[in-house]
Amino acid sequence: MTQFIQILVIGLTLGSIYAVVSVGFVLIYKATEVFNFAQGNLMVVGAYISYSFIRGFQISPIFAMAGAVLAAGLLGVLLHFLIFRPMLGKPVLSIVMGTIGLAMIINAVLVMAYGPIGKSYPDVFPSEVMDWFGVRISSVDFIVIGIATGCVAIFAVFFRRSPLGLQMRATAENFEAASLSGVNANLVFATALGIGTGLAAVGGILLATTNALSIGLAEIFFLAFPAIVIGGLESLGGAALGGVIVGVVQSMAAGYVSQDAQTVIVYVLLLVVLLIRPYGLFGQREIVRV
Amino acid sequence: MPTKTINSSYRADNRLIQSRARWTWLAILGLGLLYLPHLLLNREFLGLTLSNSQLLGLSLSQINVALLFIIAAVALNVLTGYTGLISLGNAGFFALGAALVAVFDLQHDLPFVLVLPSVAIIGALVGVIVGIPALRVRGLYLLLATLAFHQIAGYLFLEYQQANYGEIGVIYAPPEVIGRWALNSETRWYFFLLVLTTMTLVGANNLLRTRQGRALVAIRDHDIAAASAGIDVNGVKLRVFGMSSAVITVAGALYAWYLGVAEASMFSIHFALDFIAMIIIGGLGSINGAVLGVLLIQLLPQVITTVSAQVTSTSPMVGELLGRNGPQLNDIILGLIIILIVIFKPAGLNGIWLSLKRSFVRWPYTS
Repeated sequence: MTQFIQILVIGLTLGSIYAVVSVGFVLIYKATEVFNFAQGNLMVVGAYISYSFIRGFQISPIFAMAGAVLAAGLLGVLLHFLIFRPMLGKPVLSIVMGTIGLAMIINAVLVMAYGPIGKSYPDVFPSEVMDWFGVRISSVDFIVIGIATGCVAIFAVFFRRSPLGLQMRATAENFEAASLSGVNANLVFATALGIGTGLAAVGGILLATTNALSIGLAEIFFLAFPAIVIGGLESLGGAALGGVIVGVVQSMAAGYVSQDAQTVIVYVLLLVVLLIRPYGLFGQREIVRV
Repeated sequence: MPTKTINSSYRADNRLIQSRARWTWLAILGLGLLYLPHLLLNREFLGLTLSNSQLLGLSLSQINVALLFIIAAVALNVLTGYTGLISLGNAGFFALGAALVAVFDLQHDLPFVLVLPSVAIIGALVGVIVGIPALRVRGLYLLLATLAFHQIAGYLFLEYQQANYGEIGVIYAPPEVIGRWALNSETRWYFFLLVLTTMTLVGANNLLRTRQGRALVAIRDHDIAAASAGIDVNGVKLRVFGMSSAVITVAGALYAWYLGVAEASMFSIHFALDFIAMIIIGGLGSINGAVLGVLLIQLLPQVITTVSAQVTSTSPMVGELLGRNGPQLNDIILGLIIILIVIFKPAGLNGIWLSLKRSFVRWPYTS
């Protein structure tokens, strides 16, 4: 039983990180219809920037992490104007390939700047091992879950309550109607990109605190795809829930089956969901004009 | 000056090679290809010795790998470019081919003439199974479904490799094609692969002349309209998945034989994405484009290495920087090329070539 709870906690930690990154991804997709393959690399960029802030500039961890998220958001806006905006309206495969090209560039620049060997992330969270009825849980996990949930919650409040969130929802629902109502589409897209990248950076930083910091962290994003599909490609809440589900499933697979099998089992789950209910738990059936 | 002939019969219009001029160019290309091994191995061209950097530091082994990738890229282009079914399964099928060769050749020692067809048949069957999600989902979701196949195939190959061969990977001996004649030299591989590549290119080009080929393009453009025109959309989708997967699996089998070793990390997602990059850079839906795309991606690292070697002699610092970060520079340039092509020239390298031809013909009335 204790092993089960331990695996569950690891799964929830991982799942909350997936949730943050997936919400960012779905936000970008909902706003600009761009399938951002580079989200994983943007995660790693955020983590590396915060690493530089902490180790290089000796800024205190909290400001360093917030600053890194802000920097990543600005980078996202820059990328929007340079790359995402010209790609609007192109066929799906071209957009995917464009973001893959972006991912390659980001990866290469990071390796050139920081070297290929992983670095150990400074301990920014108090890491005590707490003992609950025989279950050993690290406090880092709790803090990660807390921060991730907090970010998703803050974002949800922003999306539902603030005027800019209303504009984003309107643009995502019907682009032309929103433009006619006076919404500045470009501003909305740029904000969506910035927030999406910022959330990715949050996920990356949280991931770096639990694992070592290296380029390979970007691969984690491939496990977020099932999360997004399970939740529904157009549903933000679904993305968060899907992230948690995938995290728990992956952790269970790693614990009870084998380390090598974790990715495969998550992808088998993805395949099953695609065959049974392609639009995910919370998505809607796509209605296409013939 | 016209670039196309004016045809006066259906038969002439349907011909694969339409004009005398094209036959001449193809003949010259053929002669060049036959001379290529001599050029690369002996480094001389009709008596003139060429330096390493003039040949871009190419060796016959890179040409061989490029030929293999051309076969796979053309098959993928038929699947994704002609029929519009996005598939990331390449690496998975390569892994399947490698595993099948290990089972047939190493464990059971089947003769070569039996191995390749069996690999093709099993590749086709697996391809049909992988194609089943294509009946249910489209576009992006199909990409994810094939990504799932990629992960599953990679995992199964890893298990197979670790169960039977250990960490180094599966090791293959050069195949004996007929009797004792084995494919154990670069030149032999080159001519063997040249034959196969020519067959694949002719087959793919020929596909558009047939009813099935037109059905593929119809499905890509608008599958509901295609269904209402009487095309069995589901059947055609499965068949094209099967056919292209068979070719890709055979390419994977030959790749394993050629390299002599196959290890699970070779068939990574980067490998699969490289193929999609090749066909998109070349131009989706054009066979010549696939060839150009493969050549660009295969030769780019060579060009960078040669350029950095040149630069080192004149300016050591820049040269050292290039040398140390060669693979990263390769990725950056490749990523930039992909983004530029997606944004500015979606028709790819083939599109650039066609517009060059057109402006040459219409000079000075170029737009």
